[in-house]
Amino acid sequence: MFRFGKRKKKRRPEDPAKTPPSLRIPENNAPLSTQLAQNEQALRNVFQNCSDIVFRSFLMFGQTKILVLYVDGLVDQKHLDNAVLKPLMYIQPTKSTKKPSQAMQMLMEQALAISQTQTLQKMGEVVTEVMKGQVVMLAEGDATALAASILGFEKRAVEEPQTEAVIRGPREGFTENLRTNTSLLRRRLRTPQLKIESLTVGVMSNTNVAFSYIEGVVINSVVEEVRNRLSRIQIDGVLESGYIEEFIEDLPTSPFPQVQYTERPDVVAGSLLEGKVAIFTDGTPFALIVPMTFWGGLQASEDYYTRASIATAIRWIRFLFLGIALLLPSIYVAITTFHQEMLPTNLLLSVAAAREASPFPALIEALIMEITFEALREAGVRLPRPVGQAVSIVGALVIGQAAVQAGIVSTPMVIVVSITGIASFTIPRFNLAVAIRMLRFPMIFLAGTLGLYGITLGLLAILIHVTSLRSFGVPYFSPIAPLSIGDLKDVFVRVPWWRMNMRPRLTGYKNPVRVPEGQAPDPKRGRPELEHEEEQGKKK
Amino acid sequence: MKKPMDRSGTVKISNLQLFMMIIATTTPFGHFVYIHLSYLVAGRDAYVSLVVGSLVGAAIVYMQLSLVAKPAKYTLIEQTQRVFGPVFGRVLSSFYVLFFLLSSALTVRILTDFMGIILPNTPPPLISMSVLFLCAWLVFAGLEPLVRTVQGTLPFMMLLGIAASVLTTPDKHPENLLPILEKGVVPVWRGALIYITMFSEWISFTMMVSNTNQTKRVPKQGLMTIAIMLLMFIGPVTGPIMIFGEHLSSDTSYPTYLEISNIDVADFLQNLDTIGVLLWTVGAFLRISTTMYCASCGIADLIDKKNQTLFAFPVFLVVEAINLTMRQAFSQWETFRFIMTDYLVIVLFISVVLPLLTFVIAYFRGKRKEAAEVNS
Repeated sequence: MFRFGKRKKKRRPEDPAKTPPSLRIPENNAPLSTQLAQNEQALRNVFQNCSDIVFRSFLMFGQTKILVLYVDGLVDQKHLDNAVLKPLMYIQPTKSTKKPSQAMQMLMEQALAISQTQTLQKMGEVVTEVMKGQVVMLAEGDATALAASILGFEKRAVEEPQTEAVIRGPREGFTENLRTNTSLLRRRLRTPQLKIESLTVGVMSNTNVAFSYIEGVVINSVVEEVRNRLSRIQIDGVLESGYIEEFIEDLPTSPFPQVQYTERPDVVAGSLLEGKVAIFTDGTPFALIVPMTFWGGLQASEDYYTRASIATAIRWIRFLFLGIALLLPSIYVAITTFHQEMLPTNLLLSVAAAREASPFPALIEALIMEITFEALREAGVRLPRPVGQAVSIVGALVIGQAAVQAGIVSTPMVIVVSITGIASFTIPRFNLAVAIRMLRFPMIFLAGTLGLYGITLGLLAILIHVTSLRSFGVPYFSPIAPLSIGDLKDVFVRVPWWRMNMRPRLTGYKNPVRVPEGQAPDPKRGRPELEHEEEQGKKK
Repeated sequence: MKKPMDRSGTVKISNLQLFMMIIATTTPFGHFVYIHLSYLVAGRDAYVSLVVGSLVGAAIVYMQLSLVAKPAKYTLIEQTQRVFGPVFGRVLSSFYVLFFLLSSALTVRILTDFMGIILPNTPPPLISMSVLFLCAWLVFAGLEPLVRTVQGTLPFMMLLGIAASVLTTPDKHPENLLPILEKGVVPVWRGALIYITMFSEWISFTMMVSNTNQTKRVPKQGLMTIAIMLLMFIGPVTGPIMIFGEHLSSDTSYPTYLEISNIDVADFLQNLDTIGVLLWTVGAFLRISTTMYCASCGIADLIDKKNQTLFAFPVFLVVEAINLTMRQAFSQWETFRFIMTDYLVIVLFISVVLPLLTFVIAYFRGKRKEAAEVNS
């Protein structure tokens, strides 16, 4: 009778038989033949009309026919000539090289000066490796192929991240290359405990995805959950980490991000040291970090590089402006519409005089201005860089000024919207800032209909939502709710590093100690002679 | 004998979370409503009533919490059915559910009246429906989000309350509290009954004691919470009398709100009515959510349903219906009079007589069982 109350999560079918044909991975398990012509024909059929696939045949040592296969543009041509073609065409054969069935074995062990090679047995493996940018070699009389990594494609250099600039801190940011990104991380955490597991996601894109964690620090169940959620993804292509983010989030319909993204290797390293897991996607500089909490979204990497007291003060400014970004327009609407008596008399007279010319109620005025501001911000991002800045300034100053003079909007509203706009940019994580900006609209609407009471209800609704959320098993609003007093050292304050003794309780309980006790700076620490002198002085 | 419901996988909350919830639900409602009512009957001696009420309330709360803390696996309603049998137990238990519904509706009614002061043109049903819908959503989300919402709001509420108390200090005249017991002890006792009612309402939390992770310690910690409550009430009980005097405080519907509105520091920090609205709305919201949660749990226990939040939205509709009926039947003043007379009797019956009876029967049955075990 009451079945409607049972909350059952509908999951997509896991059964491979139910997977749509377009998302089935075409498995070609046919073994390679010893006849090179037969293999070549099969591969030519697979790569029909692929003009960028190069088939190059030659005679190794003047005896054995070899077929080299690669994607033009993904391979370092010069390295291919020097490391593969030249030695194989000119080296004299020895007795052991004369057996055609062991040609690939000999190539790998004696002839090729390439560090990363692997042998392949099946036709499907050959196709996959060629698509990954490997050079694949097949020999007459040998049913084994050899894949060699001679990757050489155009890629962006390591640059300073555009979206997470800092005054003090490393200037390196991730690039679109997965291996470059993992190497940037490995350079910061030089321990074999840093594990990087890889998998491929996307039937068509075959995107390399890697997730990393520090063994012994991370909780195994979190790693297992990440592994499961990633391996469950069925999609034709993954072009950015955003695709993966939406698949692995706990509640994708929430406006609040439950996965943090970053372009900074230092942020990833810091998160891994807190017991979190990072996910890298080939083709994007944005790494994902899980689990994420609401308060984590208000922490900037620079907080940990500047002086603790300054970082704490800046954090409080951020909290204040978070409140302004969410509430200032709605409070203005509520007070001017319902609670005029709450304003001091002088201020009330100024606001009333300014609003006299405006034909719209405060609610409509606020909505018009906020939507215009969001449109200007969006246009500023999309327009070509030199034009974008000019348009933003023209939009903000000229349109704002003209609108006030024309009596369409009031001056206080322009001030409120401007301050709110600036406030939203103080939130370090862009995805959290966007969520706050979007929530401003329902808050304005509630303020315009129910005044301060509506604002309070709106805040409570947000609170109910964030306290119900979880990110990979971690309560989203922790360490405030549920309360973890020990973890408050990195929420409302940022204690000095020598006081940051424990990792966050919910992600780092497996290996809790981060900094041993008693490391407060003191000239006498570790120098017994000075301590002894002081004791003597006290006795005298 | 009734077996405890299989609640494997149900939410566990810490004892701290339970007592934070008690404080968050009792304090704002007490500050805005019960203090005013105690002024009406005890005048300037309301703070003496508070002390007397706290002492008697401590005994009642200890008995209520002990009733469910010892068996540890049962909610109040399950324990009642266990002691009185499935049929008579269910009849008695349904009184508890009706009481939770009435308590929710009464809070909604008073909140709607209060909001009518600052939103005179807004239809009261819109105010009540909006808060009730939000409460139903929270109840449906479950106990975990409920206690976390309390944890997210209580520190800010306490900070705002303390700030309001400190900011009004310069205007306070302690001589307004004198003389003590000018009209004898009868008004003080009548005032104490108001506070006894307030503490007796903690019967709601007996529906959640079985969810705590240290159930056996709950009764003693309940006494400590009463002491904390006494400290949290002494300032607001004396504040309006010290600022406005006995008569003005008694004549005003919301004296503590008036106290907050009256804050004026250096001609800059003034008109802080916002704090009052915020405290009152959040406090009322938490109180309604808690009693609605108890009502939903109670119905689930009555019909042996494992999902305790299943009835969140039906409860929402019933509470709104009671609220609208009360709105038709009573004016604001009549509502206050109802609390001081009929509601007080209902609370004492539901929260003191019934649990005490259950407690005594359970106690003697336990003794007899022990004796039988010793003899065998």
